[in-house]
Amino acid sequence: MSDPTEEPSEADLLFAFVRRRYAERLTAEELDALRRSVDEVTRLAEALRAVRLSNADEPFQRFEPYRDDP
Amino acid sequence: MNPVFRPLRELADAVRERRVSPVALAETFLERLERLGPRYNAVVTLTRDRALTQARRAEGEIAAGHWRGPLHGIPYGAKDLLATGGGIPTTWGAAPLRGQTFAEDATVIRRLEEAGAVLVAKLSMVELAGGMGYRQPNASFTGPGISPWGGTWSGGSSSGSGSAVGAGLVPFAIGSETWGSILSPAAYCGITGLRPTYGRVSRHGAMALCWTLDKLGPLALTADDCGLVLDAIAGPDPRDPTAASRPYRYEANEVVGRRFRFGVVRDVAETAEPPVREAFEHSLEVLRKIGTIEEVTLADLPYEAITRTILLSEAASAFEDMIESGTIAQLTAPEDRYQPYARDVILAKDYIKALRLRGLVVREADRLLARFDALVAPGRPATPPPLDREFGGLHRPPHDPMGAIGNLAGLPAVGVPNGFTSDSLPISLQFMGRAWEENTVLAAARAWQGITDWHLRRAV
Repeated sequence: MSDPTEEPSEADLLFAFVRRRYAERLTAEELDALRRSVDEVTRLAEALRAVRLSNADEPFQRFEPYRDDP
Repeated sequence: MNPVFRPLRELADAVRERRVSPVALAETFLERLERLGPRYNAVVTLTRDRALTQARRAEGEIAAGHWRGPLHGIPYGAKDLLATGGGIPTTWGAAPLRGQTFAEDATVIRRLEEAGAVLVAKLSMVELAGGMGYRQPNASFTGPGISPWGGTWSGGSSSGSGSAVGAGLVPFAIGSETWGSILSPAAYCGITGLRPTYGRVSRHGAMALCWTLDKLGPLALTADDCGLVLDAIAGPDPRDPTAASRPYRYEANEVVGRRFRFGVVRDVAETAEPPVREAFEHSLEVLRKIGTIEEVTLADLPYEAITRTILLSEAASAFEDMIESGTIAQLTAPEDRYQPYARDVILAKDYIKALRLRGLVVREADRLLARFDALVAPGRPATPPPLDREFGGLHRPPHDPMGAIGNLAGLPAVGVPNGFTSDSLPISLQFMGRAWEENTVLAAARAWQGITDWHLRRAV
């Protein structure tokens, strides 16, 4: 049980968003399970954020301008 | 001759020399699919009319002296995420899409038709290729995929492609892999599966799960069979901008006497189930007969988190309509009906961070692989699970660097049989190579299958 006087965690806030959008479609059991999925999303994000990159490290996904020449 | 469980070259010779008729071949495998397919929940749609039309055409062409090549007149099955025209449904394994049809064939289906192959069935798959995060075998409207070995799970998401080949219902099949969907059914059904380099095979007409991770490839009895199929389906395609412009030709050069350089990632089998670990350690001894083995260390990067973030984000977008509309409530696996909602909260900056980290991973993988013909590892860390158990631990491995790196960097890998547990459940080995080195990993796998006989064992 979390202390109500504590600041909500990132996962708490993200789950509040998910619950606001979808709660009416879901059972209490499904919401509990969904909370665990949100926790996993935050764990993935933490793992990524723990790696430092330089400004020069671009996404490995190149954009190419498009031109429909005949 | 009995055509069941014959390698493709034997079937091709028999067809070319007119010892076996393509029509008789099609009828044999259609009968097996119809009679045995339900035992494995392997089939979605039997394509009898199309198959017999293609087989008669092949028979006429060959009789007239026009032999197209080793797939001419050979039956095959396609994972039901490949579009087929002519009113044949393409269900993506999902109950709400049972009646979905497309106007034309996927490029892979068209290329196989051009090679003279005969489509006998659309094969079952995990709903939406597992993109909603299923956690149990029963995740398709056709029921859980069942391996011919012991009635355990067939693996997924190319479930029917694996079990149909393993049970001798088709000589080969086409599957897809985003993360594990070819290598896992190959492992659990005791067959050979090839995950090609990303971009080697056009994805036009294939269901998109994750645009930057999806690959199409063959499942068959041997590595040589996989090479023959890849030869027919690979190549550039203007309708898929990610299909590489470089041409591909399968080179089935002699491998007897060839020495390979194998790398093994340190502790790669440490978390595997004991039978898998033991089989892998034994396989390293066997591999020393055909090459050298050197242990290597991976850079410390969150490989699984990067791959999973990209997969979850792109799948959430690919299936946005089904998720937002609530159509996912009609899916089979209960967890697939709500888990995707959590992906709303993957932040854009974290997805972009994953794409930036991908650059580090592709360079690290290439640095590592440049010194080797292949990295070797267990094909799967676990043995096939029972049908009624939720996946835990090794079936959804928290630590799967080979799968994460291989798919994130788009690298080719071939999974081959590597023994059995004491309960006669199959175990596999994988050879993963540098980008565009399918011929190298296939040569290593052929050499392996030249000195072992695990791929010759049959479940039925």
